[in-house]
Amino acid sequence: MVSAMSFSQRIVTTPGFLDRRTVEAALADYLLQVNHRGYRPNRRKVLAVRGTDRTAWLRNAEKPVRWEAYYFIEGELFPEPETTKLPPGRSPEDYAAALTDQIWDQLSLWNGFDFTPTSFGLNYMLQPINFANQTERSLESA
Amino acid sequence: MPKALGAFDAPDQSESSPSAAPQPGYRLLDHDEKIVSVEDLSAYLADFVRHDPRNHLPEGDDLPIFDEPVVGVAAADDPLFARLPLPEVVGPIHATPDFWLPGAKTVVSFFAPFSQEIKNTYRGNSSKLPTLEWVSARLNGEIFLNVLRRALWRFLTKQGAQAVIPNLDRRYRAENYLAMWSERHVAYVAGVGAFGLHCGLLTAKGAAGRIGSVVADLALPPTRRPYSGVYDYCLLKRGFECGACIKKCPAGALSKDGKDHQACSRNGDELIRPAYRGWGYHSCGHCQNNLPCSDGIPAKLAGTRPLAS
Repeated sequence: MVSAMSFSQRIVTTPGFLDRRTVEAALADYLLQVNHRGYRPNRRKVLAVRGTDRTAWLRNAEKPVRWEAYYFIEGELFPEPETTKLPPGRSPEDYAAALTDQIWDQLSLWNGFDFTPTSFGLNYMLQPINFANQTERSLESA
Repeated sequence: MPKALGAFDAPDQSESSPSAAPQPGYRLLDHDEKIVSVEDLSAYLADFVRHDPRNHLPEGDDLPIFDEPVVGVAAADDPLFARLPLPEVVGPIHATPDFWLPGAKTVVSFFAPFSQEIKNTYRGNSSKLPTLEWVSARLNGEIFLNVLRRALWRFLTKQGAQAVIPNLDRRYRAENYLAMWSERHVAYVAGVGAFGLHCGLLTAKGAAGRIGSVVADLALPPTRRPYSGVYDYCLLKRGFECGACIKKCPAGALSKDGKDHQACSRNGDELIRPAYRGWGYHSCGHCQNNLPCSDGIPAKLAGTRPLAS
């Protein structure tokens, strides 16, 4: 049965938390790229997170698209220079997991607030339904 | 004879125009200056507003969301902070700077005014509904406001300071329209603006905008408040003929006695949300647009003496 909810309603009413597996994968992909033939950090690359399922992806910075939030990898996620320089002997995947550990609490909190853009705070996000009114709740449960 | 650029030579930056677009990327990367005054913070946030690509609507013509902010600094031990938890001000839910950051010395507050491009979409709007650009700027602008809050936090911590963003803190909450950290009241303490009858903040760059703040243990000179009364910038409260916001409110939520928050909220739920259902947006803007206080402090108040506090 097809739900009566629109695309945007699905996004604003989807509870959820940042998907760690895809954050690690995106960072590993970035590390692979910028450590190829020497270390060349890329200021344009961002970690983009879509609202539908809170999965992350790597792309270039641009004007935003609906239902997405993004974070610059260099400077915003990692303010210290050369944090993304791959240490000798480590794989991008292994080092991406370590870097994700470093930023996870902060990033998941930032992302939670970015997908709760009201003045009510995270307590609102932690409810099963985000800023949806009663009609939308009844649609969700239908 | 001009030097020929080799394949790996960078262009000579000294010859570039000061207005040239900066390098792409996170703006903090190009800011190593020491923060010594509110002007440094203003210049930094202005750079973000001008050049961070997230300061745009995600649809239509991608209009810019905010113009350059008004920034103010308050001392964390300003006696006004101790008044905010009083029942007649915000209420007991409100926390002090020291709650967020023990040893706090400074609170930086900023008001980001909506761009003229956004406000222009509201000009001559006789509908009870806000424009699409407005409702989008309200929601997507809040996401960029978080970018600005975090950018300010990063800038302060880059100086070696400890800093906290109360409205992006796990401890933050709000109940019954009362916030644990009221950005409007904090902005008032920091000299950013005073209140209007409509409960919005009135600043040198108008009433239409959003507010953010960061608490830090870096000592900075506080901004002098150019007002002494809560309603110093409100024409009606100052005894002039106005009440324009009362007439504009489509929900009848405003009167000379103030704002009925529930009526305002009902209007959002029952009129605006359904109208913008497909978009997923909400939020009215009638009490921030097309008013004498929309773009700045009302001209009639120029040269008048502030009210007694």
